[in-house]
Amino acid sequence: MRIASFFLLLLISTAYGQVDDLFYANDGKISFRSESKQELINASSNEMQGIIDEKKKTFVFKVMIRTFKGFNSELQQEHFNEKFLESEKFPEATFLGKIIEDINFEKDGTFEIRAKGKLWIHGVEKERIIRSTVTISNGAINIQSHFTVALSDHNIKVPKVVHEKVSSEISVEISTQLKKKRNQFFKNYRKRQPIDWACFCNI
Amino acid sequence: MYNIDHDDNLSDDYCYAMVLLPDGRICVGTDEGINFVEFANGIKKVTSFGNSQGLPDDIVRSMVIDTQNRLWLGFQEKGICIFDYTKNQITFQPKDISNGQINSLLPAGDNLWVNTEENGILKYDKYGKCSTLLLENNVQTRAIDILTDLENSLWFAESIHLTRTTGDKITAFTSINNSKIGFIHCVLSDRKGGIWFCPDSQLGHMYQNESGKWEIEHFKIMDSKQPADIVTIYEDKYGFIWLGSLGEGVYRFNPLTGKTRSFNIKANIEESSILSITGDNDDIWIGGFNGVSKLHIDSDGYSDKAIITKDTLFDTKMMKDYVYSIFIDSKKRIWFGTDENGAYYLKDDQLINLPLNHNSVHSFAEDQNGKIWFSMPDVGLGYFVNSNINYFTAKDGLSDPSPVSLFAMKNGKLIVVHSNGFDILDPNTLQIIYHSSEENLADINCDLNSISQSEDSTIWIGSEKGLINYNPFSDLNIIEPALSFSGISVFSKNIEASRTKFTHDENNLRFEINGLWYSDPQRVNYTFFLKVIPTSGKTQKTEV
Repeated sequence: MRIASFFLLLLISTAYGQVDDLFYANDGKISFRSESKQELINASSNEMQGIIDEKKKTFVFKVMIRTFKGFNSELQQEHFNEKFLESEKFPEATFLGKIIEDINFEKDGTFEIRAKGKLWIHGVEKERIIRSTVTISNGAINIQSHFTVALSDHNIKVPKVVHEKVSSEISVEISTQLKKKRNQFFKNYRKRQPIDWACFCNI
Repeated sequence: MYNIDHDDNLSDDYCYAMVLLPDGRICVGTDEGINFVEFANGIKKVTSFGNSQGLPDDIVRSMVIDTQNRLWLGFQEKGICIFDYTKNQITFQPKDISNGQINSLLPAGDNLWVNTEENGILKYDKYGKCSTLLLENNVQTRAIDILTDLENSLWFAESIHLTRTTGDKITAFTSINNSKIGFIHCVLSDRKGGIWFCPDSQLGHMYQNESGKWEIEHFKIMDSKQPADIVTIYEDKYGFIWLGSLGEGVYRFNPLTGKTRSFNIKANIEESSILSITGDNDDIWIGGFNGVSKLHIDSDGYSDKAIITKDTLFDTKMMKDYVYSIFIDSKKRIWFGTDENGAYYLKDDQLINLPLNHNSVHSFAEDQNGKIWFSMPDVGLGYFVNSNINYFTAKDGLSDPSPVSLFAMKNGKLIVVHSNGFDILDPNTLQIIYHSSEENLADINCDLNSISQSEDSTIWIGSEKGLINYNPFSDLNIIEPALSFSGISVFSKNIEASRTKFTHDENNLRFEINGLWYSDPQRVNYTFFLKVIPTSGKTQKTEV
């Protein structure tokens, strides 16, 4: 199955965009913070994947829900996966869309951009425009972003008993670097779940 | 059918909004600016205009053409602007709304409603003033779209709600800067646009700062340990505020210095419990539990120590009744509303009593035809014209038999305040528009002097629930419900509405209609008029 996905990616990349136009990330950092009356919860993952097509100004980022670590307790992590995010049923969170502003990816510099797209969390899609800082340096794209996610937007229900322990709005931070080293990306890609490339290429 | 997309030079395929321009072109808002689409000889032509051409933001989420054919654009990050589509340039961007996401725009008369993502719903008026739509409990909206109906109510759609509000017709101020407002006995709109009001023994002042935001300040008037309620308020020609209390006499307050001067028994004012204060030029009339006093500002009116004397020529013993209200009409007649002896008016030093069957009179107003209207508990309204007294009661359509306050607005209509809302009465046609519980006005429980009109014509009503702002110009222009016709049936079988001929035995017709009146749906009454028109020969024509 994974081999089939891999070949599908190659096929789609060839059909819809030049692979040379793509920047890849395998080890992006994504962290979230829930600050409520009774508890502060922080968790993060270093396994966020992403691709940016510099010509088409499109992107896709994905993280597997189960890769989030750093909860206050094992039980909390278990609740996060099983009760709130239902990670068996909805294993990944994805953000897929386009960059609004024009950027010259060939030239070093820092830009404020808006990334507009569909954010899927918990199987529920929400259109978002997320402001990010993009720094181009030595052929790599560095992205820093901070945004919030309302649990209600993604039908994430918090049981009443822990209402005061979990904020209704979660603060999310992203820090990642994308490069044109696709060999490394594909090497790592084989180990992981496939992104919905077809959606990405059809934007 | 045409398809217009990126291949036709549309700047982006994600389209948010479009309008038909007066010149026949279509303007489309996208993620990459605006596009003008036109067709000539079956050929599509698209020209775009984006951030690189001077548009403040590429993402154009909303657009409308206003009554002056101006094109307003609403952006994702940069507020709103007017775009001149004949010259392809931005002609105006309001400073107050130059940031933030605009979800939708709605022109309504001279105003533009601006539905924002982060700052609620804003009203941008023809004077360039921007104000936020206040909602009950100061709830912040995040509406997807907004709409006004025939009654000028403002509807907004959120992800899980559809809400109807009174828009800018009726706004309740229940708190400002976390300072709660409620249980107001009297209210005054001063000549500078400030609103003075008295909750219990305090004096509150509400005013708009430079950015149009309401601010509030409070003043302590009485030093006594058990301060009395202030129930009446009046601004004299020098800008000083007169306050009448229940038990502690009269005060003259200087808004510039915050100093208060007391007039009580020691100052030769017999009345300690005051119910009404009014004035004309340097004369100040005071009514209360012990009849009426007349004061005169002799000199130094702008000073805290103005020389004010009591007019001893005026015989207070003429009236020993409670005097609820004093009113000066356009002919300079002084009207007095009493507890048990109806109304009096003073003309050429003669006190004339109106025979009102010992009814109490609580307030007066004069309409634009010179009719003097007055309110009476348990009766309704009366009006005095050409020495005749006429009554206007609940039978005539008044919603409450015990009106509390009565006021003649600058638009010629009367506002009649009662415990559960207010009626707007046209004194010429005697038609009424009701504002009541459906507009959050249940149990407002206003007092006698709880109404005032500001220079800009808005009405301020002090109530138990806070300060209510009523904008007469935003009120509905219709007096009948919109009729929704849903069908006709003959013997319960639906038929085409266009059918006009029926056989002799098709004589059971059913009309399904709904009168839509969102402001007060329970008050809708239906009247049917069946008219039989004889025609030649054996047939008869019937009209409904």
